[in-house]
Amino acid sequence: MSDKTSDKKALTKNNKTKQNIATRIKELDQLVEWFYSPDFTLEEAVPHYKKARQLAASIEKDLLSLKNEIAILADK
Amino acid sequence: MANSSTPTFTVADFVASLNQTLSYAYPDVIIVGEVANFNSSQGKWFFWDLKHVEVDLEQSEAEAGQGTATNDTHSPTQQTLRNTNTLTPDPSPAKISCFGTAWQLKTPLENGWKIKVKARPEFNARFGKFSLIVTAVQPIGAGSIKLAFERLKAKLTQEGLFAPERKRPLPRHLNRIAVISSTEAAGYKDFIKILGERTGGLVVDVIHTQVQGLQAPEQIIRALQKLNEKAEAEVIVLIRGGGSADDLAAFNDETLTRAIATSKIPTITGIGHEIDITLADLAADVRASTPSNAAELLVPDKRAFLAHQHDKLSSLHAYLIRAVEEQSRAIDLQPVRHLMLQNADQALESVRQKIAILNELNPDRVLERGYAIIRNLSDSSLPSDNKPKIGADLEILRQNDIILAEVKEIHER
Repeated sequence: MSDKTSDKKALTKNNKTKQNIATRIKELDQLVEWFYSPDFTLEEAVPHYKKARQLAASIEKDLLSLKNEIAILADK
Repeated sequence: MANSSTPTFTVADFVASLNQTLSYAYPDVIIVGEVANFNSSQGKWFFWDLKHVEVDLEQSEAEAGQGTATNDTHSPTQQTLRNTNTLTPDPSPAKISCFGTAWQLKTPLENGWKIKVKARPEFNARFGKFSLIVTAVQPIGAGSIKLAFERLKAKLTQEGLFAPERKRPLPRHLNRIAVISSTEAAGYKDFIKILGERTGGLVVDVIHTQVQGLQAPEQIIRALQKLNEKAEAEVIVLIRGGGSADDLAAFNDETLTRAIATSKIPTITGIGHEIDITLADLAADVRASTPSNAAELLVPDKRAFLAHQHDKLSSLHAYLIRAVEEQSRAIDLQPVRHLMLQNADQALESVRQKIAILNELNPDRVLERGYAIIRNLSDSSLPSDNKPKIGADLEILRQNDIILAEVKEIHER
């Protein structure tokens, strides 16, 4: 596999993970907003809160496991 | 006069042979000295003498060795420095003529400045004179560097190269960046470390170059060109750790400054320490005070983000508890209380009625009314007709006393 191909794969994989994290962050933000919105009810609050916690934990796990891909380019 | 072992030349052949020998022995040489008799012709060609000055060549060698790129092919230069130092018995009167062109010399020069030149030694046949054909110049020593910096800064400022309106903001969500630095330098290592601590998932293309010395500007410019041609990185980061004014002089090179200013890809510099400002810093879109600060300015800190998420969830938890309490208080308990009281009243009434009935049935109440209760003391198991026998002992219980009696006669009613 050429360096360029592996580079692209790394970039794609990183991008996918980052997009996935970004989507979950957005979902978490929406969940949090719901608590302060007029739609808030105590009956739904507990499942919403549990879901928010699960989302936060998964975001943290993925964020901490993401590493930077460092490639030294040839000068020529 | 001549014998067979003595070579004989025409003038032109001798000059050609001499230059060939010089070119072989010194394809490139770096010489340190002081500018004297500086002259320019039409602002395009420059002539001056390079006078001998006492300098610490060991230090110059050490500096030249730091951050050496892998394609460095100029080690003879260092050898030359050492040899020159050893071979000069009385260097005080020594001077060499120098020649350079405006497009090669990107640094202003003045008499008395200490400089380092990269040059090719050559005997000029036309003028019958030995000179150095200078390809690069760098001021050395704090005084010369400062003067050259101020001159060039004024010139480039006038051209608008450092104008604030030229500055572009760095993209916020980065996927790919490029770093130009010496991978052996502490500054580069700091940058990579901080970058890794703050973020992940970033592709970092690194081009290793020298970050000090006469060859550094050219290598950095080539790296900038390459990255701009590839056009993959979203930001170019130029990194160099702290050092003396001489160490950082490469970043005051005019061509390099122009290359940074014209980069299509936004640039950020992290050169030296907070107090070190180079022309490269002024030309970049963003100047970071140090390599570590460059990493901080480039990417948000994931640890701060996670702490913020934790705070948000904690606030949510507290909010939820408050909401439960408030909602509990908001529930109207009056109907419940009314219902409970109503039920209690009914139960009380029922108890009262039962007590009244029981009271009515109380035997004492019967005795109060003048009746008496008679019990057969002789035979507790009375026959079914409830008749006592003649002679049986009876106990007569009245309201206030008990009478013992005997059955004398029994008459039918």
